[in-house]
Amino acid sequence: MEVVSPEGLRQDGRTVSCLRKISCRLGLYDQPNGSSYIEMGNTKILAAVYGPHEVKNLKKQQLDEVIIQCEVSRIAASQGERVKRPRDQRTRAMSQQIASVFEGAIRKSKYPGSQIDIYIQVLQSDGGVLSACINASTLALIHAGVELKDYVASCTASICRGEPILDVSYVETQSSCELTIAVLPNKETICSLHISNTLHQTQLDEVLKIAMDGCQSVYKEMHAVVREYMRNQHAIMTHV
Amino acid sequence: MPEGNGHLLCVPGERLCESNETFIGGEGTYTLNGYIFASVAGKVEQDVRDKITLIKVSRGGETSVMPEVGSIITGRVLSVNQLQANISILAVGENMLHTPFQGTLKKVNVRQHEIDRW
Repeated sequence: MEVVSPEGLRQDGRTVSCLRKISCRLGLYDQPNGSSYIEMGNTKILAAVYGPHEVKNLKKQQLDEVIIQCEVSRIAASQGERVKRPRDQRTRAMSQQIASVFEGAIRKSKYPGSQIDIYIQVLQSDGGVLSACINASTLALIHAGVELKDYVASCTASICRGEPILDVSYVETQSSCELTIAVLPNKETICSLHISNTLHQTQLDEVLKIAMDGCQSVYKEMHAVVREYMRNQHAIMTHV
Repeated sequence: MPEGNGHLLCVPGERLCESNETFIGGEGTYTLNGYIFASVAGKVEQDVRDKITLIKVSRGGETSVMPEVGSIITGRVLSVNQLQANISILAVGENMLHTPFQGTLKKVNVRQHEIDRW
């Protein structure tokens, strides 16, 4: 199967450095402090943030900073094959990864002795689930008003016959690796990097570069949505 | 860039201004490498007090606050016994909490003298 055609187009008609369509929404629910929904191509994620609140398990409490707990679950029909368990080893690993990403982004000392919970629901997965989860949680955290050092924008990249490709779908990851990075876009620093399958060391730099550029585009998209949301909110507030 | 009815809006990670003797970062901001950055999404407010400008970002509406040492709280008493009262903390200062916190009010502490003695 050809991932990139001789004309330089991929199966869904994108060029190698083209992202899938991103659309996101903030504030879907009233119950959690913050909530968001993101679509990156066919990958659809819901995220909800509760907190900062009192620590449930006092053994885990840290008096000088906040603890971050994350839970990812998938609905049964999120993939081609029916998912037997909503939470398994893979989602648990993903949860820990997401929690550790936000360890670096949340200003933890602002909320001493408390806890922030992030709940993520994967509605549909088509590659780049981890990155979509990270983006969704960022939006939910911003909506919740949790103090962040910066946005966390995440994106995937891969390489196919020596040519780096951005934002891979599920089909494209089958034949090559999938590199997921999360960056703080204003600081231009990477806070998480994860590669599934093998990638040659000499190719890492160019894949990383294209992924970094992708993250900046993802950031711009999220930024626009947050701004639009805030503008509406403040417009409502000043009318009252 | 004023927008949203003339307010200056900002998002986390956005650089607001240089941090020096005249500009100091307040709540909703942090200082890094000599610059003040926003850490929440909201409205930028300036508080000018004799030459010093306090920059802060207010979210508007409900803010997430934590009860700290010295903060004045509003709570509801859940149960009372010989030694203490269990309360649920509903508000800190003027801000309502999203989820109530648990608190205990010890009888020995509610007096002016010898507050450490049992």
